Amino acid sequence: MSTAIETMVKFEVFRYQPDWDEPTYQVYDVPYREDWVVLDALNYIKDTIDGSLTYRWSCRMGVCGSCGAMVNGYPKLTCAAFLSEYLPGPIRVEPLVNFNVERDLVTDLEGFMEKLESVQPWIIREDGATDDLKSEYLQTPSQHAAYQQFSMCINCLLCYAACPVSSHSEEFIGPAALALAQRYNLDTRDEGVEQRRDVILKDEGIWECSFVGECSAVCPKHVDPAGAIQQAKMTGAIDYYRRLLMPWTVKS
Amino acid sequence: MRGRSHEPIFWSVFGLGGIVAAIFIPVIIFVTGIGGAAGWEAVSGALAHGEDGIGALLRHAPVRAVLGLIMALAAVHAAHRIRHTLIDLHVHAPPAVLIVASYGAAAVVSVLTAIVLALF
Ligand code: SF4
Ligand code: FES
Repeated sequence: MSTAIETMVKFEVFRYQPDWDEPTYQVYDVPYREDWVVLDALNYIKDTIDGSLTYRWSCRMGVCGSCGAMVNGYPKLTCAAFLSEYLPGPIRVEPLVNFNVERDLVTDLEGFMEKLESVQPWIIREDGATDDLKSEYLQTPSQHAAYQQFSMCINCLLCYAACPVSSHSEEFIGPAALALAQRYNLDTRDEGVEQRRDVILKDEGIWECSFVGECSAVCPKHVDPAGAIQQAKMTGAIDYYRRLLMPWTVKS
Repeated sequence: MRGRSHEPIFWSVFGLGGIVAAIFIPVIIFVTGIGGAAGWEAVSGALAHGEDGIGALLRHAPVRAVLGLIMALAAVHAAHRIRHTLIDLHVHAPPAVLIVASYGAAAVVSVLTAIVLALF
């Protein structure tokens, strides 16, 4: 008679509730399944061991961007982090670093939302015609290709957790929001470059970036925020010298 | 300027220094340190067409000027990188102190290079 012995994987999950003084790590044993990702394990814990565990998720397929967490110290979409990559364990799951924690793995996104809004990541028309549904704004495939990569962001914020600048500067607008600013600045249908300029060209905009490039390394959507910021620095530097040396050529 | 950053000054010299360092320094190291020492005909021949190789090359003022410029730009490049790495490593120093220390060091390197080159 053969008894299949289930392989178990140890999970050390960061726990914090607002009425606790200190966060703690709780250990859970989760059965190993080849096709399971860390999110499946969290769901298993919540369903069968501890219903109080709190975390965000929705699509389970790397689209919604809500399931980001630190898995063994590295920012990951938990729905894309296969248990098999972390055998034999233990697997430590913590909230994304560089964010305040609301409860367990749930982080406070308020600051990011403000930064995102500050770069006005939408198409701006000088004539204000964004809601003129009759107009068509044509674009060639190469004009589209110029910003397409930067438009793939799912706001998972793994890049903020990976960014050394975000770790010391709360005001730094950060990789995803700057990549989106660049995405709209490069869009031929957009006329909002001037309106975004002041936010982007501050120290807390592109210039605090120290080009470590970890944002691009961890991005699950290959957005390459570091590349977007470098592009913006180039335009920003030209703009700076133009204002300095030929002020008469710039508006306002 | 409404809160505008002056970082573009440092960044543009940093960028220029990076390009210059990446393109010229390997060539300089190769020519002066590896190719000549290994006795490659093309390299040692070119160096030796004067009386004493590299010394002869350095007696041309334009060569010295270009070498000095390359060294200075590379030093600013390194200083900028070190300054930002220190900030990333959470070294809590006032920004002005880091600026003076890092680009100051680059200035010292540049001046020393200029002195050495002037002696030829
Ligand atoms: S840029 Fe990439 S890592 Fe950053 S939020 Fe967007 S998808 Fe996530
Ligand atoms: S659950 Fe939607 S991206 Fe992971």
